[in-house]
Amino acid sequence: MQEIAGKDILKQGFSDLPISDVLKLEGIANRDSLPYAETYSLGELDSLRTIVRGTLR
Amino acid sequence: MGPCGKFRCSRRNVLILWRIARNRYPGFSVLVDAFKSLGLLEPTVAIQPAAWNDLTRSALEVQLKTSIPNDPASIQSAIADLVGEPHRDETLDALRTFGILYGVGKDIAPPSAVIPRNPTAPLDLFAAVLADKLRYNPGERDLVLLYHEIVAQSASTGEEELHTSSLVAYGDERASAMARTVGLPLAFAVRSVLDGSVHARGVCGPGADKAVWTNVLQGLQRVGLGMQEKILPRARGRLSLEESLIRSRA
Repeated sequence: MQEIAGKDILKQGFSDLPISDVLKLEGIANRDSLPYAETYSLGELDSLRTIVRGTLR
Repeated sequence: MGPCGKFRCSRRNVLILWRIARNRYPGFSVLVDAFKSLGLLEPTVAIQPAAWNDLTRSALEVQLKTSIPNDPASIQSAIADLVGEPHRDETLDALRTFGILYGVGKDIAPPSAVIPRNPTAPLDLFAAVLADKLRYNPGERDLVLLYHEIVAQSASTGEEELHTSSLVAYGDERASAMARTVGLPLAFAVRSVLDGSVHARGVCGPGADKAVWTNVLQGLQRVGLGMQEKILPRARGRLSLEESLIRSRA
Protein backbone atom coordinates (compact mmCIF):
# COMPACT_ATOMS: atom_id res chain seq x y z
CA MET A 1 0.00 0.00 0.00
CA GLN A 2 1.21 3.49 -0.87
CA GLU A 3 0.50 6.39 1.43
CA ILE A 4 0.92 10.00 0.35
CA ALA A 5 0.91 12.78 2.94
CA GLY A 6 -1.49 15.62 2.13
CA LYS A 7 1.36 18.11 1.78
CA ASP A 8 3.04 15.90 -0.84
CA ILE A 9 -0.04 15.23 -2.95
CA LEU A 10 1.07 17.49 -5.82
CA LYS A 11 4.69 16.33 -5.72
CA GLN A 12 3.66 12.71 -6.01
CA GLY A 13 1.25 12.95 -8.91
CA PHE A 14 0.73 10.40 -11.68
CA SER A 15 2.15 11.78 -14.91
CA ASP A 16 1.00 11.04 -18.42
CA LEU A 17 -2.01 8.77 -17.92
CA PRO A 18 -3.03 6.73 -21.01
CA ILE A 19 -6.72 7.58 -20.80
CA SER A 20 -7.47 9.73 -23.84
CA ASP A 21 -6.16 9.71 -27.40
CA VAL A 22 -6.60 13.46 -27.70
CA LEU A 23 -5.88 14.84 -24.23
CA LYS A 24 -2.64 14.60 -22.33
CA LEU A 25 -3.71 13.98 -18.76
CA GLU A 26 -2.01 13.74 -15.41
CA GLY A 27 -3.54 12.75 -12.10
CA ILE A 28 -3.27 13.21 -8.38
CA ALA A 29 -4.49 10.83 -5.68
CA ASN A 30 -7.89 11.72 -4.26
CA ARG A 31 -8.41 10.67 -0.64
CA ASP A 32 -8.35 7.04 0.51
CA SER A 33 -8.79 4.70 -2.49
CA LEU A 34 -9.40 1.54 -0.47
CA PRO A 35 -13.07 2.02 0.58
CA TYR A 36 -13.98 2.19 -3.11
CA ALA A 37 -13.43 -1.55 -3.45
CA GLU A 38 -16.63 -1.98 -1.47
CA THR A 39 -18.49 0.92 -3.13
CA TYR A 40 -17.89 -0.67 -6.54
CA SER A 41 -18.49 -4.26 -5.32
CA LEU A 42 -15.00 -5.32 -6.39
CA GLY A 43 -14.60 -7.99 -3.73
CA GLU A 44 -12.07 -8.35 -0.95
CA LEU A 45 -9.11 -5.95 -1.00
CA ASP A 46 -6.75 -8.91 -0.79
CA SER A 47 -8.03 -10.16 -4.15
CA LEU A 48 -7.25 -6.86 -5.93
CA ARG A 49 -3.91 -6.17 -7.58
CA THR A 50 -4.36 -2.41 -7.80
CA ILE A 51 -6.98 0.09 -6.79
CA VAL A 52 -6.54 3.82 -7.23
CA ARG A 53 -8.96 6.72 -7.15
CA GLY A 54 -7.65 9.97 -8.47
CA THR A 55 -8.42 13.37 -9.90
CA LEU A 56 -7.49 14.09 -13.52
CA ARG A 57 -5.88 17.30 -14.66
CA MET B 1 -20.52 -6.78 -14.25
CA GLY B 2 -21.15 -9.21 -17.08
CA PRO B 3 -19.11 -12.29 -17.79
CA CYS B 4 -16.21 -11.65 -15.45
CA GLY B 5 -15.84 -13.90 -12.50
CA LYS B 6 -13.04 -12.65 -10.41
CA PHE B 7 -11.71 -9.14 -10.34
CA ARG B 8 -7.98 -9.02 -10.20
CA CYS B 9 -7.43 -5.38 -10.56
CA SER B 10 -9.36 -2.22 -10.46
CA ARG B 11 -8.95 1.45 -10.36
CA ARG B 12 -10.92 4.54 -10.77
CA ASN B 13 -9.99 7.93 -12.00
CA VAL B 14 -12.31 10.80 -11.63
CA LEU B 15 -12.91 14.25 -12.85
CA ILE B 16 -11.21 17.29 -14.20
CA LEU B 17 -11.97 20.81 -14.91
CA TRP B 18 -9.06 23.04 -14.45
CA ARG B 19 -7.09 25.21 -16.72
CA ILE B 20 -3.76 26.61 -15.82
CA ALA B 21 -2.24 28.92 -18.36
CA ARG B 22 -4.44 28.63 -21.41
CA ASN B 23 -4.75 25.27 -23.15
CA ARG B 24 -2.15 23.71 -20.97
CA TYR B 25 -3.11 20.62 -19.04
CA PRO B 26 0.16 18.76 -18.41
CA GLY B 27 2.31 20.32 -15.73
CA PHE B 28 -0.60 21.27 -13.49
CA SER B 29 0.71 19.43 -10.43
CA VAL B 30 4.24 20.79 -10.75
CA LEU B 31 3.07 24.36 -11.23
CA VAL B 32 0.57 24.37 -8.38
CA ASP B 33 3.19 22.77 -6.14
CA ALA B 34 5.54 25.62 -7.11
CA PHE B 35 2.88 28.18 -6.13
CA LYS B 36 2.59 26.35 -2.82
CA SER B 37 6.37 26.46 -2.26
CA LEU B 38 6.32 30.23 -2.85
CA GLY B 39 3.68 30.73 -0.15
CA LEU B 40 0.93 31.82 -2.58
CA LEU B 41 -1.46 29.20 -1.18
CA GLU B 42 -0.98 30.21 2.49
CA PRO B 43 -4.41 30.55 4.10
CA THR B 44 -3.54 31.73 7.62
CA VAL B 45 -1.07 34.62 7.32
CA ALA B 46 -1.97 38.10 6.05
CA ILE B 47 0.00 40.30 3.67
CA GLN B 48 -0.45 43.73 2.15
CA PRO B 49 1.20 43.92 -1.28
CA ALA B 50 1.64 47.44 -2.64
CA ALA B 51 0.32 46.40 -6.06
CA TRP B 52 -0.56 43.15 -7.85
CA ASN B 53 2.97 42.85 -9.22
CA ASP B 54 4.17 42.92 -5.59
CA LEU B 55 2.11 39.87 -4.58
CA THR B 56 4.79 37.24 -5.23
CA ARG B 57 7.46 39.24 -3.36
CA SER B 58 5.13 39.81 -0.38
CA ALA B 59 4.22 36.10 -0.20
CA LEU B 60 7.91 35.17 -0.46
CA GLU B 61 8.80 37.41 2.49
CA VAL B 62 6.35 35.54 4.72
CA GLN B 63 7.42 32.18 3.38
CA LEU B 64 11.14 32.86 3.87
CA LYS B 65 10.67 34.96 7.02
CA THR B 66 13.02 37.60 5.69
CA SER B 67 12.71 40.84 3.78
CA ILE B 68 13.27 40.64 0.04
CA PRO B 69 14.37 43.74 -1.85
CA ASN B 70 12.19 45.03 -4.58
CA ASP B 71 14.42 44.04 -7.50
CA PRO B 72 13.95 41.29 -10.10
CA ALA B 73 17.27 39.51 -9.40
CA SER B 74 16.58 39.04 -5.68
CA ILE B 75 13.02 37.89 -6.29
CA GLN B 76 13.99 35.46 -9.05
CA SER B 77 16.77 33.97 -6.98
CA ALA B 78 14.38 33.43 -4.03
CA ILE B 79 11.94 31.72 -6.42
CA ALA B 80 14.65 29.47 -7.85
CA ASP B 81 15.69 28.44 -4.32
CA LEU B 82 12.16 27.44 -3.39
CA VAL B 83 10.93 25.70 -6.55
CA GLY B 84 14.25 24.27 -7.74
CA GLU B 85 16.19 25.23 -10.83
CA PRO B 86 14.38 22.81 -13.23
CA HIS B 87 11.02 24.45 -12.52
CA ARG B 88 12.28 28.03 -12.32
CA ASP B 89 11.48 29.26 -15.83
CA GLU B 90 7.97 27.83 -16.13
CA THR B 91 7.14 29.22 -12.67
CA LEU B 92 8.41 32.68 -13.64
CA ASP B 93 6.44 32.49 -16.90
CA ALA B 94 3.23 31.72 -15.04
CA LEU B 95 3.76 34.48 -12.46
CA ARG B 96 4.44 36.99 -15.26
CA THR B 97 1.34 35.86 -17.14
CA PHE B 98 -0.73 36.42 -14.00
CA GLY B 99 0.78 39.91 -13.57
CA ILE B 100 2.05 39.26 -10.03
CA LEU B 101 5.80 39.57 -10.63
CA TYR B 102 7.98 42.66 -10.88
CA GLY B 103 9.49 43.37 -14.26
CA VAL B 104 6.31 42.49 -16.13
CA GLY B 105 6.19 43.51 -19.76
CA LYS B 106 3.78 46.28 -20.68
CA ASP B 107 1.71 43.84 -22.75
CA ILE B 108 0.45 42.01 -19.68
CA ALA B 109 -2.45 43.67 -17.89
CA PRO B 110 -2.52 43.53 -14.10
CA PRO B 111 -5.38 41.53 -12.56
CA SER B 112 -8.56 43.58 -12.70
CA ALA B 113 -9.61 42.97 -9.07
CA VAL B 114 -8.98 45.69 -6.47
CA ILE B 115 -6.39 44.80 -3.83
CA PRO B 116 -8.10 44.72 -0.42
CA ARG B 117 -7.26 47.63 1.93
CA ASN B 118 -6.62 45.29 4.83
CA PRO B 119 -3.92 42.61 5.10
CA THR B 120 -5.26 39.49 3.39
CA ALA B 121 -4.18 35.84 3.13
CA PRO B 122 -1.97 35.12 0.09
CA LEU B 123 -4.41 32.34 -0.87
CA ASP B 124 -7.32 34.78 -1.12
CA LEU B 125 -5.28 37.30 -3.10
CA PHE B 126 -4.00 34.58 -5.44
CA ALA B 127 -7.53 33.22 -5.89
CA ALA B 128 -8.68 36.69 -7.00
CA VAL B 129 -5.83 36.75 -9.52
CA LEU B 130 -6.69 33.31 -10.94
CA ALA B 131 -10.42 34.13 -11.10
CA ASP B 132 -9.54 37.06 -13.36
CA LYS B 133 -6.66 35.66 -15.40
CA LEU B 134 -8.09 32.18 -16.01
CA ARG B 135 -11.62 33.33 -16.75
CA TYR B 136 -13.18 31.73 -19.82
CA ASN B 137 -13.10 33.93 -22.88
CA PRO B 138 -15.93 33.94 -25.41
CA GLY B 139 -15.80 30.71 -27.41
CA GLU B 140 -13.80 28.82 -24.79
CA ARG B 141 -15.45 25.82 -23.20
CA ASP B 142 -14.89 23.57 -20.23
CA LEU B 143 -14.56 19.80 -20.13
CA VAL B 144 -15.75 17.21 -17.67
CA LEU B 145 -14.11 13.81 -17.94
CA LEU B 146 -15.05 10.84 -15.82
CA TYR B 147 -13.20 7.61 -16.36
CA HIS B 148 -13.31 4.19 -14.73
CA GLU B 149 -11.07 1.35 -15.80
CA ILE B 150 -11.37 -2.14 -14.40
CA VAL B 151 -9.08 -4.97 -15.41
CA ALA B 152 -10.80 -8.28 -14.82
CA GLN B 153 -10.02 -11.86 -15.63
CA SER B 154 -12.60 -13.61 -17.75
CA ALA B 155 -14.08 -16.62 -15.96
CA SER B 156 -14.43 -18.50 -19.28
CA THR B 157 -11.12 -17.82 -21.07
CA GLY B 158 -8.86 -16.70 -18.23
CA GLU B 159 -7.77 -13.74 -20.38
CA GLU B 160 -7.56 -10.29 -18.88
CA GLU B 161 -10.17 -7.86 -20.14
CA LEU B 162 -10.38 -4.12 -19.90
CA HIS B 163 -13.76 -2.77 -18.80
CA THR B 164 -14.11 0.97 -19.18
CA SER B 165 -16.92 3.31 -18.28
CA SER B 166 -16.43 6.92 -19.23
CA LEU B 167 -18.07 10.26 -19.75
CA VAL B 168 -16.73 13.13 -21.84
CA ALA B 169 -18.80 16.32 -21.75
CA TYR B 170 -17.92 19.72 -23.21
CA GLY B 171 -19.56 23.01 -22.35
CA ASP B 172 -21.54 24.84 -25.03
CA GLU B 173 -23.15 28.28 -25.53
CA ARG B 174 -26.03 27.40 -23.20
CA ALA B 175 -24.22 25.91 -20.20
CA SER B 176 -20.84 24.75 -18.96
CA ALA B 177 -20.21 21.01 -18.80
CA MET B 178 -19.70 21.41 -15.05
CA ALA B 179 -23.13 23.04 -14.63
CA ARG B 180 -24.86 20.27 -16.62
CA THR B 181 -23.07 17.33 -14.99
CA VAL B 182 -23.72 18.68 -11.48
CA GLY B 183 -27.13 20.30 -11.97
CA LEU B 184 -28.94 17.68 -14.05
CA PRO B 185 -28.29 14.68 -11.75
CA LEU B 186 -29.58 16.81 -8.88
CA ALA B 187 -32.65 17.81 -10.89
CA PHE B 188 -33.46 14.18 -11.76
CA ALA B 189 -33.04 13.15 -8.12
CA VAL B 190 -35.30 15.97 -6.92
CA ARG B 191 -37.96 15.04 -9.46
CA SER B 192 -37.89 11.45 -8.19
CA VAL B 193 -38.47 12.70 -4.65
CA LEU B 194 -41.28 15.04 -5.73
CA ASP B 195 -43.14 12.41 -7.77
CA GLY B 196 -43.19 10.11 -4.74
CA SER B 197 -41.01 7.27 -6.07
CA VAL B 198 -38.33 7.71 -3.38
CA HIS B 199 -39.11 6.19 0.01
CA ALA B 200 -35.83 6.89 1.79
CA ARG B 201 -35.96 9.88 4.12
CA GLY B 202 -33.39 12.21 5.56
CA VAL B 203 -29.92 12.91 4.20
CA CYS B 204 -28.64 9.89 2.28
CA GLY B 205 -26.34 9.08 -0.61
CA PRO B 206 -27.51 8.31 -4.15
CA GLY B 207 -27.16 4.57 -3.53
CA ALA B 208 -29.59 4.53 -0.60
CA ASP B 209 -32.70 4.20 -2.75
CA LYS B 210 -32.80 2.46 -6.12
CA ALA B 211 -35.41 4.93 -7.36
CA VAL B 212 -32.88 7.75 -7.04
CA TRP B 213 -30.04 6.26 -9.01
CA THR B 214 -32.12 4.54 -11.69
CA ASN B 215 -33.93 7.80 -12.44
CA VAL B 216 -30.69 9.78 -12.40
CA LEU B 217 -28.91 7.35 -14.76
CA GLN B 218 -31.88 7.14 -17.15
CA GLY B 219 -32.27 10.91 -17.13
CA LEU B 220 -28.58 11.46 -17.87
CA GLN B 221 -28.78 8.95 -20.74
CA ARG B 222 -31.71 10.93 -22.16
CA VAL B 223 -29.84 14.23 -22.15
CA GLY B 224 -26.68 12.78 -23.70
CA LEU B 225 -24.69 12.48 -20.49
CA GLY B 226 -24.79 8.69 -20.18
CA MET B 227 -21.69 6.69 -19.32
CA GLN B 228 -20.13 4.93 -22.34
CA GLU B 229 -19.21 1.37 -21.43
CA LYS B 230 -16.76 -0.82 -23.34
CA ILE B 231 -15.12 -4.20 -22.92
CA LEU B 232 -11.77 -4.68 -24.70
CA PRO B 233 -9.10 -7.33 -24.70
CA ARG B 234 -6.10 -6.20 -22.70
CA ALA B 235 -4.06 -3.99 -25.07
CA ARG B 236 -0.63 -5.39 -25.84
CA GLY B 237 2.43 -3.32 -26.60
CA ARG B 238 0.96 -0.22 -25.03
CA LEU B 239 1.52 1.00 -21.50
CA SER B 240 -1.57 0.17 -19.46
CA LEU B 241 -3.04 2.64 -17.02
CA GLU B 242 -1.98 0.39 -14.16
CA GLU B 243 1.60 0.25 -15.45
CA SER B 244 1.71 4.01 -15.92
CA LEU B 245 0.47 4.53 -12.35
CA ILE B 246 3.16 2.21 -11.00
CA ARG B 247 5.81 3.86 -13.16
CA SER B 248 4.79 7.27 -11.79
CA ARG B 249 5.32 5.99 -8.26
CA ALA B 250 8.70 4.42 -8.96
